[in-house]
Amino acid sequence: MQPFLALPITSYVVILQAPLPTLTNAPVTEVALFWLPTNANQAQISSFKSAFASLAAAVKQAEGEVYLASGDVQGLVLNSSGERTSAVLAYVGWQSVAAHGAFTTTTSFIDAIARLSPTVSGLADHHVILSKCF
Amino acid sequence: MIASTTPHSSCNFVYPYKYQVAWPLGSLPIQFVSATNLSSFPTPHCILPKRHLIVMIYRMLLVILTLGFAVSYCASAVVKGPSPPRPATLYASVPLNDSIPIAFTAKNKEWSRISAAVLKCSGLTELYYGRQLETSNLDLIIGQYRNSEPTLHPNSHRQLINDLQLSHLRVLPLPANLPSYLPCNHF
Repeated sequence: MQPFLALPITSYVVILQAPLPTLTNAPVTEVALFWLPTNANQAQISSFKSAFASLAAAVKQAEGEVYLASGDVQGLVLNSSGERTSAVLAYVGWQSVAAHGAFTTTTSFIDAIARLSPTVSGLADHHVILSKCF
Repeated sequence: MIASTTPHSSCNFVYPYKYQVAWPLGSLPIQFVSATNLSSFPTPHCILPKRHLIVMIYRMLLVILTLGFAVSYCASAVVKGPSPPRPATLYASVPLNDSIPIAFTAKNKEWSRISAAVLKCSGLTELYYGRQLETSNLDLIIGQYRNSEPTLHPNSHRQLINDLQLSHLRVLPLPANLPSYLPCNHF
């Protein structure tokens, strides 16, 4: 008998800005986790929030976007370098992975991500096809 | 142009001069200070009544504006109601063992049933579950908590994750009786 788990489960409590949309309304959901710089000061946080808002605005205008929900992760979490830092999680519903891919080639995305990248210590992006359990 | 003088009640000079301008359809009273009387322009105590008027109007405007803002604010608060609490969600990533891919598909359904049973007890009202497309060995769980702020107590949250991990370990063999696997008062 082998355990299913390769590693311990990672879990976050995320306080969203708005109620969670019905995630199954989109064929595919992008889950993006943005790690802020470790020990980020107020200026760095403001800079991130502003850049994130620009990216969110671009996403909402994107073709194939179904919904966007985002919020702060409670407490500190480990980033990809193993450092404890704060983070923001976003759920983006897309018509397809291809629609998301197409968006990433647009100038609005390229501009927004260029602005956002210097304000984070890393990001993780996944696609998932979700089913509703209850 | 006919000049008429109207002495101010509290002043010792003639102020203001009231002129009646001849107008084609009658006469239009205009008040202004005659250039010839500039030297006797009101002394401070005489200006006071006019300033009083300005101050009174200014204060009235302030009161009206303040009341206006207050009324509109209250009205909008009544219409909108209190701002809803921000919803709390659970996000969990479950890294799966690559070495059991064949058993996984069938067993995974059972695991998701167990997970659902565990998570439902924790106060989640919605639960989404799916496989990450890029690596296929990471399950993602997204849930919406019934209660918003304050969110699930950290101890309960920790317990929830522990139980999820235990349920993962218990998938092989399957628990005999899922409904009794974890009673909701467990938390």
